[in-house]
Amino acid sequence: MSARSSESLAVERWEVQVRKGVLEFVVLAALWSGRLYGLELIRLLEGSAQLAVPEGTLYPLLNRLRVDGQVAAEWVEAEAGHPRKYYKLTAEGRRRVVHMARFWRGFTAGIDEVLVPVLAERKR
Amino acid sequence: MNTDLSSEREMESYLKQLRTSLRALPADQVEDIVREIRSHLIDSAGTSAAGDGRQVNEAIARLGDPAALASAYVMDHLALNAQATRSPLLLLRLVSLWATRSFEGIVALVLAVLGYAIALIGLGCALVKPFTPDRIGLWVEHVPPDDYSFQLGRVAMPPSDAHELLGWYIIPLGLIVGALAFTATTRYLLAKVRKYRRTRSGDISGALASSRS
Repeated sequence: MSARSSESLAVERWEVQVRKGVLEFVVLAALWSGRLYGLELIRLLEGSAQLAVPEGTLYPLLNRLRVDGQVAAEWVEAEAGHPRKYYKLTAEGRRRVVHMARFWRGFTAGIDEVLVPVLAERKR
Repeated sequence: MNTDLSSEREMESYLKQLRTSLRALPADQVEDIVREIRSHLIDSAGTSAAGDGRQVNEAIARLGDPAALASAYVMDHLALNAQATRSPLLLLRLVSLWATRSFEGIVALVLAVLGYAIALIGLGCALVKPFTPDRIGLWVEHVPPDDYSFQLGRVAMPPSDAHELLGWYIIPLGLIVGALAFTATTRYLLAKVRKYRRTRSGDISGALASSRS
């Protein structure tokens, strides 16, 4: 029982590390098609990819990416009555996402290959 | 209505705490962040049909402790500046903040304070020695039966029975020890900052950098 729970804890910790590792990549990729403001980005990631990002993590991350020159931010007056801060990729950011996406393709293809026997075993 | 008075007050109180915790940043950045978080809270609360006070509470809970949110911004800012300027003051401010968040930070803070203290004492002794030669030194005093007490630095009056060990050698020695302690501590802290910034930006970009080379 305790061995099992410590094992699931280890898996949970691993999941956290994986999510953390891809967060920047996912955020940059989500901005590929156009500018978004924070909450739109959060909803997009929640809805389309089950990649729920904690708000308290996303906003500092966006700020870091802006300082780093990967994204640019602009305030836009909305009909909602209050302005929203929109983020879009810079040229440098676009280049980085492309590099990351290429790496990701190769990386996941390799993992998928390794996983074939693992998942086949489970079905039996 | 979502402009419920108590939830409005709660939001303002959250933003006020956030603003206070962000004070290490330049004023325009503080305002920009507070404005963005305000906009986020209004949007999170306003898009639900019910729109009562619960939505604001929920949105605030999801953002987490304002001090923790602020420290993410502040640590990023200090890390960037500390790395660019290599300023010991910025490095110390950064590890002080880090120490409130993790055990690793506490260890780094203790080592940093110790390292810079040794540097300060070493350089201080070397620089003051020419002006008050009799009162700067390393004294050793025999305490019967078989104990010794050491006294290093600047004294009001040299201990009468003590023997001064270093003489004028305290100047080169203080300079060397002080400079070494200063450099080692700064390097250690900068390595920590680099590691911090690397883990903040995710492991994938690290893997990317090494796969490209």
